[in-house]
Order: sequence, then C-alpha cells, then structure tokens
Amino acid sequence: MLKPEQVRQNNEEKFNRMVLENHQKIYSMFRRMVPSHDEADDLTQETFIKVYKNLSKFRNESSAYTWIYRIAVNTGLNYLRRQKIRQTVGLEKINVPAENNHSHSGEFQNVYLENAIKKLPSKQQMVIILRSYQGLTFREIGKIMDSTENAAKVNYAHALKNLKRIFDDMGVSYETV
Amino acid sequence: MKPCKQYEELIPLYLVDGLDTAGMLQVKKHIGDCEACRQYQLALSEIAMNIRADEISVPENYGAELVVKLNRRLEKRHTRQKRFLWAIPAFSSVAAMIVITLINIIQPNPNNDQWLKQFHQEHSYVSLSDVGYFGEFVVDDNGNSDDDLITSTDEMSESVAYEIISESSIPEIDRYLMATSNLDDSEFQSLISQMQKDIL
Repeated sequence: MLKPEQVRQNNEEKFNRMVLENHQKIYSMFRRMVPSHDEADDLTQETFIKVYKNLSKFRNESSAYTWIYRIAVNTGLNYLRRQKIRQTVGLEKINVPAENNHSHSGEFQNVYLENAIKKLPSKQQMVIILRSYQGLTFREIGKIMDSTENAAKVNYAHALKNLKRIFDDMGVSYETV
Repeated sequence: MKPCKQYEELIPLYLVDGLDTAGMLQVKKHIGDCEACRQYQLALSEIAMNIRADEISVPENYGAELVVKLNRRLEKRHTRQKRFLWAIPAFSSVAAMIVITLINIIQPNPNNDQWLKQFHQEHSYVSLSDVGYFGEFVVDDNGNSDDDLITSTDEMSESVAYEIISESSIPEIDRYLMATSNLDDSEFQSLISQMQKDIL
C-alpha cells in the first residue's frame, strides 16, 4: 500500500508526462480561439490543473489524449461562452478588418476567416477548430465532445454553411468558376 | 447565385460524408445538374480548405516552462491544503468551546444546580481570613447545616480547637499544640478552664 506522499509523487510524475506529451495540441487549439499567447497559456494551464485534480478519476478506459482533450474542449467552450456574453453586453468587439477588397488568398483572407469563425456558435467554433486545425476525425471529435460522430459532422456542416453566410454578409466571395 | 433551398442544408452534410448512401447519390446528381448548387458546394469546399491553411507554432521550450509553472501552482495548492488540514482541529476545538459556553449561558444545566445544592448541603465553608485560618466543617447526617453554621470568629476558633483536640488520629500533644496555636493568652486560659470543667 502506497503512502499518500508516494501517491502524490507518482501522480506528479504521471501528470508531468501527460503535460509534455499533450501540451502542443492543447495550446494550439486555444491559440486559435484567443488573440494572445498569454490567454492561450492561461487556458492551457487551467486545463492541466483540472487534469491534475481529476487524475484519480482517469481509469485508462479512454486514451489519456482523448480525456485531456475533453477537459480542454469544455474549458474552451466555457471561455467561448464567456466571450459571447461579453460581446453581447458590449464589453468586447470582434475586430473586423476595415479593408474589403474581395481577396481570395493570403494573410488578409486568414484574418477574415479567423473573425468569421469567432462569430460562430461556440460548439460549431469548437468543431471547426478540432477538425480543421487540430486534424481530428469526426469520430474522435464525437468522443471528445461527449456526442456521436454524426453529431460532430452535423455541427461541422452547419459551421461551413454559417461561415459562407458570414462571408456573404461581409461581401467576401468564395465562389470559384 | 443562391443554391436551391432544399439542398442548402444537404450540401454541407454531403461534404462531410454525413448523409446515407441514397442521400449522397441524390446530392451528387443534383450538383451535376444545378450550377448554383455546384458553386455553393465549391465555395464551401474552399472555405473548409482555407481553414486548414495555416499552422500555429508553439513557442520554443513552452512544454518545459509549462511544467514548471504548473508544478509551482500545484505546490502552492498543496501547501494551502496542508495548512487547511492543520487548521481543522484548531478551529473545531475553538468552535466546540464557543458552542458549549453559549449553551451554558443560554440554557443553564439544571443538573449542575442540583449538584451544587447537594454539595452545599453536605459541606459548609466558613472563612476565617481575619485570623489567617480556614476551616472546613462537615454537617451532620441530618443535614441541619443552617442551624450549625458558625457566624462569629471567636466561636469559630473555639470550634476549630475542639475539633482538633477530638481528632484521635493525631498524637495528643500535637493536637493541643495545633488547637492552641491561634489563641491568645486569655483565649488559651479560657479553653483550659472549659476543658477542666468538662473533664471534672
């Protein structure tokens, strides 16, 4: 029988290994949602603190990667909801580029994309980040978000449709000939 | 150009393979026939492709820095928890004392009063502080303590002396020395006279 101090030491070793193995995916996911490194760092730390607190509940039934992602996604969704509330009550505004030259490529287009993604509902935003930026499969997204593969696909499809509508409202055309 | 209304929902799902086989075939056929829906499908595909375009770079050594930061935070948390655990018994004791005191103030225990009354019935304490002497008297079995209470100092000194003298467990000479140590000459003389009378 391990003493509490030994359990703690084992947990810390296990935890440090988890951080080193997963921090890149988690950080880059948050970096898509927030404008600065510091905010992404805060959310990454918040996620791993939650991971540590719940370490005893992790039963190896799912992979550590999926489990950590799930915690990160919930942390991210809470953050997006808070942001949406702040935007709704006028505390923060999404910066939309003043220039509008109907560009199809380059950095300008990315800025439009990022701003358009930020206007999506939280779940759709999260699915876009997980699928397009993190490269997860819909099956993995379904597991991480506690839903099904099909629900992830539907969310992603709605997100694409809404992005197209946002671009149309901005006057940006993605139609090709 | 606007896509056909009934296909506006289906085309995004077609792109993610989110329809059953029949649905997939139906949309595929329609896109081949309808220019507006084909343009719509291409626009959505291009948006999806562009989202994938750029990579996020994680700062160099971020992993190691993150581990250090997290361990510091966890250490602080652990110290706080330790302090908290130590504080529990101390706070509990203080709280218990406060509660007991409050209960006694608000609602005195009737048993305590009973015990006190009983104690007072069995024992009577009389102060002889003016002569530098304290004596304890046990009331008789009938409990007539009030009647036997000694009120004057002289009476007390005399009673003490008799009590000592009649205490057979102390050697006789000691009894007399103890009994008379507080008496002045006249009191001593009076005591001797009284004892002579009693004996005769």
